Amino acid sequence: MKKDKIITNNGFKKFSREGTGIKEVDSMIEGGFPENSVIGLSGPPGVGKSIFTMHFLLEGARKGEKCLYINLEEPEKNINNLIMQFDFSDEFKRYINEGKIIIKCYSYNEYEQIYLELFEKIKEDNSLKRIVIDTFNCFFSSILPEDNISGSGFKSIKKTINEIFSILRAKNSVTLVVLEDIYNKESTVYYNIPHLVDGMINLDFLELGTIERRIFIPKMRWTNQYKESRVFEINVKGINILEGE
Amino acid sequence: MVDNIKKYFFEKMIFPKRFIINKPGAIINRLGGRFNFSNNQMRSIFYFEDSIVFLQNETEKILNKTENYELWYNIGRDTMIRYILLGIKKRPPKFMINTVLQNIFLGFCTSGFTATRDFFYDPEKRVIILKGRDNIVCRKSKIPAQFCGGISALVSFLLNDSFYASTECNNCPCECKIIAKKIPGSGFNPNMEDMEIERDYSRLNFQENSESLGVFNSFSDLMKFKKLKFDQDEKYSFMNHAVLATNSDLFGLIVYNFKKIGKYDFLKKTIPLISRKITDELLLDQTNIESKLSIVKNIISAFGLGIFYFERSENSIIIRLKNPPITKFGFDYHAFEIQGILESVFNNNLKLDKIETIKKPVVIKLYYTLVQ
Repeated sequence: MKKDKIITNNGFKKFSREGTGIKEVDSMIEGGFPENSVIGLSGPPGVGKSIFTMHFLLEGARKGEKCLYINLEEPEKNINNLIMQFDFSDEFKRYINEGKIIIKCYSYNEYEQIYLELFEKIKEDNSLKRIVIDTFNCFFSSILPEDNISGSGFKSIKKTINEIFSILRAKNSVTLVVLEDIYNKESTVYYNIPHLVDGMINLDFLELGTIERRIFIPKMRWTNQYKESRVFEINVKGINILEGE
Repeated sequence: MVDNIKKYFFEKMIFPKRFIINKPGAIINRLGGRFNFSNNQMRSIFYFEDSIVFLQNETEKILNKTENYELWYNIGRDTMIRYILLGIKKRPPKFMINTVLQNIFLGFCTSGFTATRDFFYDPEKRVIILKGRDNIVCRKSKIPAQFCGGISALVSFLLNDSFYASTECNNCPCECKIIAKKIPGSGFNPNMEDMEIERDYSRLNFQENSESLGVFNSFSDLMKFKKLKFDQDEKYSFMNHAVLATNSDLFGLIVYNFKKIGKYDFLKKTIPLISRKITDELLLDQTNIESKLSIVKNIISAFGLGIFYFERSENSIIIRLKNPPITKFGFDYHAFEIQGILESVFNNNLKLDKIETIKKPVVIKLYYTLVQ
């Protein structure tokens, strides 16, 4: 199938971009994520990060791209239950059956053992065009719990993260790494990941009587991204960016 | 001019450079670097302009004008003394005084104290004149005492001499004019016995670990979500009420000064009434207790009063504030204020039974009984 990539010119180089699956978010980042990038997606629990990733995967599958979704916290049953809430569930399931979207769920004990193998497998599979890791910081808190971090342990994890990102960037794909917001954002469980990724999408909510959700894009390399935030809601269509600010 | 003030406010005054820690429950104002060599920190909180306006006006009903003026002048002076001892500490060199004063008054302006928009200093006559309009708090209360007291302390410290500040305003709030003049006496001589910074101030107020159970908002979240608006009067407003920041001592110093004149019981009765009135306005659109408590929890947290936990059993309510601002002047004001907030939420009168301060970890517990 012919790939329909968006080309923009930032004045220095033409970048191919991958749509996020949400057109209003695409318009905030000049059409989509830059090619071969690793993008962080952060936010507190329940804000809509996993739903965002569903849009991203669906967009890829619609274009005929092979997409991999790795979940390190929930069993596959929970992922299915999440998908079922939305209008796109039938289409999503069809792509799973066709092998365009691959769902892999690992439990806490498993990924402690397999994380290196997993990235070696990703490295070898050249057909993958979109990868989601949900949540990425889980890997490291399992390897080295936060209360047991020493200087050398932290450095070793940073080295591992850099190696993983190199593997991901070397592929002809875009990777979305989901970062769970721990309540204290200065926690080392973040391992400086926002500095290491090529872009950050931050979803957040504020509760003042009603819950208001916003999307912020504080960083997107090689992109003149929209600097203001946008309000969004979650409904049967998934994430819906609202008009105005 | 407005755009310049806004730009200055964000880039220089408060966020992100001035507040090095702005997280749920705590706002820490870090000063220094430019005019001294140490990094000075103090705990700050935000509050609604109306809370002080109403209190100043209510107090005038039980004191005469002169006594009320003197009371609030002393409160302003003491608050500024604490600000100086915590935040400024060292005098700048004489040749920098003009620049320092300009910088400070511009900073005041961006916080809503727009009486300091224009500044004139005559070093020979030892006079400072400030002009502007629409100065926050006194624009509504018509009592400029607190602001004058603060200015007198600040100028006395910076110029190391005794100054007294008074007003020659016209057509309030349209033409503000504050004059700080040298008065007999020399040097800056605050009452150090009472004002001196307590030894454990830093340990109690700058806790590193402030993890909390549940999601609480910080003040910068309110800004991120555009809930904080810069209104046409160049004041920051939240939910249609003007807000401003202060070092957290202000409210303890209010109680300290009221106690000195034997009017503590008046505060005990009046603060909850004022706080209830303001909360009623803020929660007007809310119909159930859960949503009201959720708003209250987030406002208290975002304004820097600590992380708010609520427990209720039958007729009693316990409020636990994690990492609240702690000063030697006590937490009474905020305890009465929270009483009024809860009275609004539950539409019921309460009685404050006890304030318990635990220093490790830093928690304040407030015990209330519902009054039938």
